[in-house]
Amino acid sequence: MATKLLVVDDELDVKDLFLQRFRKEIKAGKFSFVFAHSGEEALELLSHVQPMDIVLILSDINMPGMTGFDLLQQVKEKLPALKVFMVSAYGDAANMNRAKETGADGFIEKPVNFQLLEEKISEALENA
Amino acid sequence: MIKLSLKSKIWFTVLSVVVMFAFFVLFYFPEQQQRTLLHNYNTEVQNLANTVALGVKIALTEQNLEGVETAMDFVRKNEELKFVGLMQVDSTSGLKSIFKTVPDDYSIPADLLSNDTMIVKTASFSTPLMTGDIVLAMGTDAITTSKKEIRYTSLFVCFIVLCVGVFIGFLLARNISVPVLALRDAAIRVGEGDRTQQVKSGSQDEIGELGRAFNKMVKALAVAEAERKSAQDQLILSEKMASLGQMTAGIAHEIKNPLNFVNNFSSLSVDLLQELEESTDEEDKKDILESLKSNLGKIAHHGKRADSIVATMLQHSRGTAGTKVPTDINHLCSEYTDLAFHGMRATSRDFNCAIVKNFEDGIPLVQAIPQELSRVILNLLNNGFYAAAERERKNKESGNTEYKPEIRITTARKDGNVIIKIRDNGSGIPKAIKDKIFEPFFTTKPTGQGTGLGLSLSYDIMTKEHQGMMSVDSEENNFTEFTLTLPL
Amino acid sequence: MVIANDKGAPAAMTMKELKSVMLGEKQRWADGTKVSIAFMKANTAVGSSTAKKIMGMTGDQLNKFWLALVFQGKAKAPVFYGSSTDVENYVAQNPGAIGVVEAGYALKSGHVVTIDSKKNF
Repeated sequence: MATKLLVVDDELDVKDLFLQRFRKEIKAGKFSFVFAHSGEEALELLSHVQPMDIVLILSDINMPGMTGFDLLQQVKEKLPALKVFMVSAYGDAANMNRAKETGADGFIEKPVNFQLLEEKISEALENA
Repeated sequence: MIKLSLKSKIWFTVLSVVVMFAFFVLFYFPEQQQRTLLHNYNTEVQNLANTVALGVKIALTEQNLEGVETAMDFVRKNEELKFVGLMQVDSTSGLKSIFKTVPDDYSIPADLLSNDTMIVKTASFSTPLMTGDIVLAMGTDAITTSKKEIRYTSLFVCFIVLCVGVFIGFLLARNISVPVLALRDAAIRVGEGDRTQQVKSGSQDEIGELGRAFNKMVKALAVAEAERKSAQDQLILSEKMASLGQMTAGIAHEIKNPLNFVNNFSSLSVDLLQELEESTDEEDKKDILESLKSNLGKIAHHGKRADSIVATMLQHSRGTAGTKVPTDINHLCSEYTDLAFHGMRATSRDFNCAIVKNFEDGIPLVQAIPQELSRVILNLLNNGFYAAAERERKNKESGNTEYKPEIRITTARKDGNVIIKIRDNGSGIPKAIKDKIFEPFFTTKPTGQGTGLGLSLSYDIMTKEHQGMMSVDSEENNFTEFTLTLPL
Repeated sequence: MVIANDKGAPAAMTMKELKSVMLGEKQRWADGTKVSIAFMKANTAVGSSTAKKIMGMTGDQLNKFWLALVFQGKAKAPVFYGSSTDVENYVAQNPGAIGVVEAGYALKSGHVVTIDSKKNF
């Protein structure tokens, strides 16, 4: 069964980026993606979709309105089983620590190294 | 208080002195002279009478007529002689009778006294042979004449003094009044702002010294002002640099995103091309070509995006001498709001703030200097972020986590103007300092965190460069809202 | 005795003429020189006799008379001497001078003026 991933980013083109990058995997049924363009949208999605459907969330940190951290916090409160990776252009120690402290399961720096991302996703899911 | 000019005072003084002198010369002095003359004349006449009497005495006692001859010669020659008489007193009766007179047979009135036209003096003699008086009467014509002469001389002297006085008055006016007035005028002009005023200061007296001191002072003033202006310019420059610096962080982030897409979609497209070459399925090929088309479009789009961000940055860093161009206010506000937001996020990672944009559609282009206007918007947004962050920090310290920082930016068209409102829900501005916030160098931030020039510069940009308005409304512990008005 | 300077008075005069001169009625001699008179003082014998004989006055009267004249500037003041020698000196030194000295006086200079052809009177 395909691993369902939720990608949260305010940039619209992220969707096309992921769909193209993982087209083979999507075609092969390894991954499936849903996209939200804000923290609020993500939560809305999560409340409707079967929680067990989505196994991993990839969230940008810097978004207007609800930040990635806020989303992380909420998700960890409501759906602690969900794994959350923080994605951000600012890969400094402060951000990374905060992510960890808030309960993030991983941290990816932008520009996304998709190879690394795949590995980390596999790692995280194996440990589930 | 009657206003007396310096010139009037000088003239008044000089003329007073002249008038007093004239008075003396025309009245007092001649009077005194005349009195003295009269007195001397009286004495003279008396002496003469005495001399004649003595001569008579000697003649009668010693039979020496030389004395009386000489005296009488002198008397007779005198033009002023009215008459002279030798009176003899009868020893028995005591009656006076005329012995001889000059002129002959002149009837001398009895007990004659001096009057306005002549002086009458008597000198007695007493000899065994004859006892009597010499009565001598001399006219005062000479004195009257000299009185007239004195008067004319006085008048003449008076006139000379008047001329000299006028001349001195002119000299004083020229040497005192003129330089003083020049100094006054120069001082007034310096007070109005002209720092190049200098006065002539050649004379060696105190006025010259004053002039030189004045010139020195004005030069020092000009130098001090230049220094102050230069210092101010420096400060303004550093304010702009600070604002630029803040923006750069945001820009760096802003550019990263589009560039990432450019890179990512480029590398994806390279992979896709590889696949296309290898693929044999027509459906598949079609899909790939579609993706490639889309990708290239996206690359172009994000490339342009990066371009415009750089352009914005360049525009912002350029100098102040901007010309007005038709500007889309909504676009400007939107762009710079994003910029400000990212800039703020770059420097304060912990702080998140909601941004609400409310732009009215269809606002026409406004004649504005974009780089200046953007500076104002950035300044206000940054202030708003700071205010909201401060409130959040204070709330967190007291345990309140309910507070949600929010910035609202709205544009609207009203009465021939474009109104931009930037509102934050920070702690507000206390009434006490509300009037001061537009003052240069006024800031509530801790030392080193702000130049205090942001609002005053913004105010100048709005009012002086755009002929618009800038105002503030605030409620403590509720909100602060800045309103910018631009004429269409 | 009447004496005179060589200049001025003539050698002979009448009493009338003399009186006239002594009374100051004559200002100049025939040759134009000014008349100046020298008397002997009234307290001398000659003086008082001169006054009486020639002018018919006392010494005091003569004094007063001449005072009046001089006062009015009508005549030149005569001089009064105490001695004949003084009179002679005066007459000798002054052209136009005429004087009266004692009778029989030994004249050294000038000339005697005969009055009515008489030397002394």
